[in-house]
Amino acid sequence: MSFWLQQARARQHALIWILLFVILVVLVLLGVNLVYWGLAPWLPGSRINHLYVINFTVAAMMVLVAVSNYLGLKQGGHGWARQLGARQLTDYGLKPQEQCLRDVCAEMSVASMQSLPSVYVLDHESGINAMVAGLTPDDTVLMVTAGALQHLGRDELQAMMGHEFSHLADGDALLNLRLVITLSGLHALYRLGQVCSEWAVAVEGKVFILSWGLFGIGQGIRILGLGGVFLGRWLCAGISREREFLADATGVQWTRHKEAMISLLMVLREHPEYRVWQHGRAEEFSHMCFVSNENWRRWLSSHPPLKERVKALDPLALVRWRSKQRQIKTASLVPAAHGVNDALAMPFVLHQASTQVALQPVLLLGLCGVGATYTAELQGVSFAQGLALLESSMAGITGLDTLQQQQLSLAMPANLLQWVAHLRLRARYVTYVCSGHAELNDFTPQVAIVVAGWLQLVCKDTDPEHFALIMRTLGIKAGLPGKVSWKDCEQAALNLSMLVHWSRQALWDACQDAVGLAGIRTHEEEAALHALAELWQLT
Amino acid sequence: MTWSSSMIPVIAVLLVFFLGIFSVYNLLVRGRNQVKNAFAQIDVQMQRRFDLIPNLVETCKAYMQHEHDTLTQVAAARQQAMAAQDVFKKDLSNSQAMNTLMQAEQKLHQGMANVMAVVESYPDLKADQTLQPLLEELASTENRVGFARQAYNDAVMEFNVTRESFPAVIFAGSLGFAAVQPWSLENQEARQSVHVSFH
Repeated sequence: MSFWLQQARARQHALIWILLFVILVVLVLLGVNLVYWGLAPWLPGSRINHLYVINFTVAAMMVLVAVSNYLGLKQGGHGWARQLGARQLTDYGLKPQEQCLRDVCAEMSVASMQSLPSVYVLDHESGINAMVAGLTPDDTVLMVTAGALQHLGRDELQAMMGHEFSHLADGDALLNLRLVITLSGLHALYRLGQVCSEWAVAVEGKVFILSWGLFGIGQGIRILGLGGVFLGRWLCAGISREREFLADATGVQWTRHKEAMISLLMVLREHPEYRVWQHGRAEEFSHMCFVSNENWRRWLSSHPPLKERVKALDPLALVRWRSKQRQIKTASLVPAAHGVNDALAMPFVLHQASTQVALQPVLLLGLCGVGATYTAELQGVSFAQGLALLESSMAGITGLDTLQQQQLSLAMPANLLQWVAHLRLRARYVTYVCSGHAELNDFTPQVAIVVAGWLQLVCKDTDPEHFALIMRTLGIKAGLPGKVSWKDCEQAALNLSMLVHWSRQALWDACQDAVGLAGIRTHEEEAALHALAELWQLT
Repeated sequence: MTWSSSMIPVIAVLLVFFLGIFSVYNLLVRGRNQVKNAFAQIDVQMQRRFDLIPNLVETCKAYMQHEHDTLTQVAAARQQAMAAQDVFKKDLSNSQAMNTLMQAEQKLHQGMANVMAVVESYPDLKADQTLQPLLEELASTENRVGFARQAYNDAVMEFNVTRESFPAVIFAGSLGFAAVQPWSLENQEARQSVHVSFH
């Protein structure tokens, strides 16, 4: 189903829920009249027409409560942000990730044709989440957790911002406010019923009912109010869930990148710890977040289950995700590496990796690179220090055979620094390139890393020594001799392509696209491509 | 039945009819203005890029003694694209003006690609402190231009759907609501964005 259709369906469903909500409110008010009409003869001194009185009281009370609540809730987005301890992003002195967030937000505001809200970062939140608050454009704020900046790539961050901007565009904050206010009005009705009942009762040692009529009306209103509140909450949750579906679809419309949204949702689904809030007042605003951590039953939860959200975007996405995981056991390792909060956990992840990828040293190598990058980022140290840290922690890994130890030590030379530093950027390109190839559905982050490393070499680094060293490392699996020539390197690359189950044509296409994507080719790149083409007999 | 009472249903039907026409007309007006606004956004973002290009050229000039041709070409392409955009802005339904603009855009794009290629071969320039943030800015701007065009195309689609739907299709043409052309690139090469390398 296209996102246009999905949007239309979500809008339609939300409208039905809203209509039901309106009908509910009308029915409750009619019910109040009915109760009065039925019990009026038993009211004391019923000369005046109580019907007007009671309707007026109910209406006035609901309006009063609504207005007071509105004034309370109307505190602006900036107020919310301050309460949650968020920090506003300014134009200067931004860290690279913050710069990225600001750029992504600016891009989404262009895509959604809206003004840019104030962007805040929730420094104390390590989960992956975001929310928008505020009613007027001046007062709208967008808050993103520090965890999201840390763990998400640019594409996923963009998907998340697309979702949030959709809430802004559809005025969901206002809709939500209206619903909450109406709910509070229904709650006021419940209180009114209680007060009526209390008037009708006198307690002097024993309970006396002074007026059965008033008591009955009070109880009737109370039950109606209570039922209204419960049904109302159920309907509100339904509306909110449909708006989430709508926001997902609209986010995809603006980013035109469904895969990023799916991968974001899948990561959140598989890592419940990313859905947790640290702030004590989390409960109050969980309905406004990208993903909620509610444990309520489904009929009262404000967000659809993540599984349903993924399914709505692509019914086959879950199946694909699972088969991908079955095919390559290591698929869970990179998300695991993403989730590692400190370098101390890294040896554990690497140990897992080494047991699972015993036959794939190349993948292990790639993983080391990711590990080092993340260690460096997480610890706030330089990349070299991160690598050293990783190296020392790897000494503690047991269960490696001699060959694997050799491979690990080969992965560590300082020359590798530069290579690994480029991996993440390159990997994005390769992922992008490869997503266009139908036969590359089995593409995994690990493969991306390896191929990215390789592409990096072919496209950029032409220092023969550097090249040879890395290709020798990669070539171990390919069974190459110790002395490596250019020809051997190309052979290693070819073998590598077989190792990762790519056809020559696919690898060639990816390679050409990655170079072509740049829109430019240096002479070296041309030469390398030409040599490969000859070697693979493709031209 | 008096004359006046028999007229009531007729008047009611006419009223509903005209109200329907008015609302469709208003829908069309809103759609057209949305399209205009969306185009203005492309304009804004492209202007941003036009503004950044001279900075890039200036920064590169200091290092590139022998590549003045490349830089002059970019400057010229920028001028052409700006002029073509001015023409197209006046009449969004003019498909010829759009083609001219797209060709100019493509030239500019190629010029930028050439500059980037040259930058690659100047290590000093690549390491320049002022160039790095500039390249980052250009990369994000390039994205924004893309998103602005996408938003424009979405707005155009919405407008054209309204325009071609019943009942608007009957009178849209005669009231001057011409179909708007979406932004598309005929040439494959122009589809690629200018690559900005952060290495």
